[in-house]
Amino acid sequence: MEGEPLRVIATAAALKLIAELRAEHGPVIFFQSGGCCEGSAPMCFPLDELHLSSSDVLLGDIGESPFYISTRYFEYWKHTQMIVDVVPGFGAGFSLEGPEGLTFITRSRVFTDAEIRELRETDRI
Amino acid sequence: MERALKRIKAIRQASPLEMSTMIGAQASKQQFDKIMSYLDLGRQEGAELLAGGAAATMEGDLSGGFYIQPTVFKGHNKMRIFQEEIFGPVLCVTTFKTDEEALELANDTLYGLGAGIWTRDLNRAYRFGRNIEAGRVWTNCYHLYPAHAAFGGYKQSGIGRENHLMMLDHYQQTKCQLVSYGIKALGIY
Repeated sequence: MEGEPLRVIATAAALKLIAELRAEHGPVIFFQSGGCCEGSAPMCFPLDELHLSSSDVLLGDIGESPFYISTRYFEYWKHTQMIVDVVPGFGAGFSLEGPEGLTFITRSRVFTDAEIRELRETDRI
Repeated sequence: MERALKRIKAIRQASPLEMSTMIGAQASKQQFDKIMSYLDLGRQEGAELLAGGAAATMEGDLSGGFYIQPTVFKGHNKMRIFQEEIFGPVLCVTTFKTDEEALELANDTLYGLGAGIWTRDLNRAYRFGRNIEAGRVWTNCYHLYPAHAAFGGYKQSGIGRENHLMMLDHYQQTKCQLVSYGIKALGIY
C-alpha cells in the first residue's frame, strides 16, 4: 500500500460499485484510457482479461483493485490526483459497469506543492 | 483575441431542433460530467478563464439539459486541459513568439490526427505542413472532410489511413503469376 498522497482514490459511490462488480465478476482491474471519443475514462475489466505492458504504471489500488495508466499518459497526468467517481451513463467501451446503467468517471485534483515534494521524495512522479 | 471572444459571445445556445441554434446540449450526462470535470481541472491548473467556464442554465423545456457554456481558457500547453481531448465546447489557447516555438507546441502532444495552420505566407504554410506530426494539416481552412482525402493519424492517433484512391488497394488482391519461358526441362519438375 502506498503512503500519502495517494495518486488514485475512489469516492464512496465508486467503492460501492467496485464491490458489486467484484461480487459478480470476481477480481477486477482498472486502466485509465486516454484518447478520443469515449476515451479519457477509467475502464474496468476482469483481472485476467487485461494484458498489461511493461510501459504501464500502477498508480495504486481502489476497492482492492489495481489501477494502471500508460507511462506516456502518466507523464502528462502526474501532477494530478485521480478521483474515480460514478455517474449515470452508458459506460465506456467494454468496461464492466456498462450494463448497470452507471459509468466510472475520473475527476482530478492538482497536487499541492507539498504533495509534489512528497511524491518526488518517494520516487512516485 | 478580443475579436475572437466577441464572436464566441455571440454564439446562440438553444434547443438543437431550432435552425438558428449554433450549439445545443451534450449527448449524455456522462459527457456533461466529464466536461465539467475538465472545467474544474482547468481552474485548478491555473488557466485563465476568458469565456464561459460553467454549465448553461436554460429556461422552460430545456431546464436541466446538459448545456455547457462555450468556454475559452488561456494557459500553458503542458496543462492537462491542453493535452486531453475534452470533447466539449472548450477551447484552450496559448501564445508563441517564433515559428520554432509554434512548431514545438504543435508537436508536444501524444496525438496527431488533425492540425491546422492559418497564414498568408505559403512558404511558412508548406514548412509547417511538412513538420507538424499530424495525418492531416488543414491549411487556411479547418475541419473539412472530403471523402477523397487520406485520413488517419500519427503517434497515438492510429496506424494507417482511410479514404483516398490509394485505399482502394486494400480491397484488391495482388496476383503474381510467375511464368518460366525456359525451353529446357527444369530439373526435378
